Amino acid sequence: MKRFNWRPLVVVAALILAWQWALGGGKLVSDTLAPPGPVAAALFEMLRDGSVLQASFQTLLAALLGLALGAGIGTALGLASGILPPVGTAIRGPVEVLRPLPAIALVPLMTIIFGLGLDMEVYVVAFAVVWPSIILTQTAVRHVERRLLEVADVLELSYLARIRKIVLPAILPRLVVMLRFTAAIALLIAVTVELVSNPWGLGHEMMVASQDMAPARMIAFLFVITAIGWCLNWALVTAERHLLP
Amino acid sequence: MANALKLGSKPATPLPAAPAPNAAPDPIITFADVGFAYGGPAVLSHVSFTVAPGTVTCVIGPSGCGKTTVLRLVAGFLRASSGVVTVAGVPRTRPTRDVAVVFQDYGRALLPWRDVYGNVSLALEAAHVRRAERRARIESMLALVGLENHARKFPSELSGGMQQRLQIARCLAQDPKILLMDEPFGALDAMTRGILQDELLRIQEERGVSVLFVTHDIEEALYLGNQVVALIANPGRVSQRVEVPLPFPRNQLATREHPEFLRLRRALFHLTHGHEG
Repeated sequence: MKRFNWRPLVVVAALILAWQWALGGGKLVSDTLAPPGPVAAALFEMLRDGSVLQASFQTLLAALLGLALGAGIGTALGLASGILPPVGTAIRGPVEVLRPLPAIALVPLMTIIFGLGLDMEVYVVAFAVVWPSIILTQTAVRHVERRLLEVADVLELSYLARIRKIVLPAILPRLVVMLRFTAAIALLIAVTVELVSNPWGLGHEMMVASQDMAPARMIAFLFVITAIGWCLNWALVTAERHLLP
Repeated sequence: MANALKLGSKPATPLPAAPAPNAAPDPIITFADVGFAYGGPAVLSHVSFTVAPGTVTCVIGPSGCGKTTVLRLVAGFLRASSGVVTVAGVPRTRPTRDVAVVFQDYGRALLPWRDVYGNVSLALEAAHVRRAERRARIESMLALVGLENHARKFPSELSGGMQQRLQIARCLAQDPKILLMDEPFGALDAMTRGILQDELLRIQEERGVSVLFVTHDIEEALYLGNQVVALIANPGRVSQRVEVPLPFPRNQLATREHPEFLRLRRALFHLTHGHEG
């Protein structure tokens, strides 16, 4: 059993105390800032009535669907372009042109096409995720041990068998890292879409709290988003540890 | 070069004791005036020799003489720039399953995510062997190379010698006509190397496979080969082709002390070491 590491908790406690002290030890009344006490109370209230769970579910659903779509397409294209050079040549142009486009700038266009709601958010997230997925998968395929590809040549493996038996297992470690990286992007974009326009999820709830001049609620949502991001990363790190020797 | 001429003046015909294939069967590998270049200066120039089926041919020479290129041409990874390389009479254009390659860097040529059993299985899966038949064939391959008690270990859990045995097992599972070996024992310690040399000869005899073995070690070439092809560099070309008339089965002590072994060793040493010798 590993000894419990208490040092980070000290830092967190110190930060909370500093936060409390900065706001006048709770005596300062403000419409824009809230001390830790009321934030904790707001968080508890939101957990009790279930509103935070619903909002979290909505944000997480959009982020994960977008991640699955974007990373799925990106991995497939990255694999194809890494294995069949003509595919690589064909997609290089579009990738370089579209990649610098900020995904969030697509919100107006996507809203016209799909309307507000889940679909629009999923597509914007997928758009943000697809480019790094392609590029990271291509890099991973390029790093597959050349000897193993020669072994595949000598054994006359079909393209499909080559992908399934050699390339995919070889790039798995890099794919998991890619997924950790793109999961953070997916959450970021999902929340941003909700902040900007989509009337659901954590981003939207935060926006409402801000407009209602309810700083405690707003900051409570910030904590929830942080927790979700942390959980997502933890899940992927755990997966990485189980998948990789 | 004076030494080379002296050797060349001796007829390289096999003595009666040599296991010369009778009535000269069609060669399994033929190099006919082969040249190769990557675009710059020639790597190989006017290389000609043949390999009789069921025999071991060793290619030796200093680094940069194109020994590995010779092997990669037979493997089908490269195509001759001039002349022609044939296997069983067919010009080589691409790799095929009937020509197996044992790489020197065994650590990179094995699938680290598959255990010993799974690594051998890859060759059978590639050949579309039915699942039901695989087990028996994998087990017989592992028994052949002495890994039957390590089937569930991963390559990272094996010693270098065992990893190379595993690669040989996978190559034999391809059921190849030809086994190409690129300095396969070069990275192993002397003792393991000797053991694997003897096992290779035993397996070669048992399976009747033809072997093209690249090495920079003259003694290893003489110990293993029915024939030794010596290359020299700039550009890579055949300086000498020697039939090795030493009797089989070979023995680490008796063969290496055989007068003919010592004579050939001396001759090839002078040849490959040029003036320094």
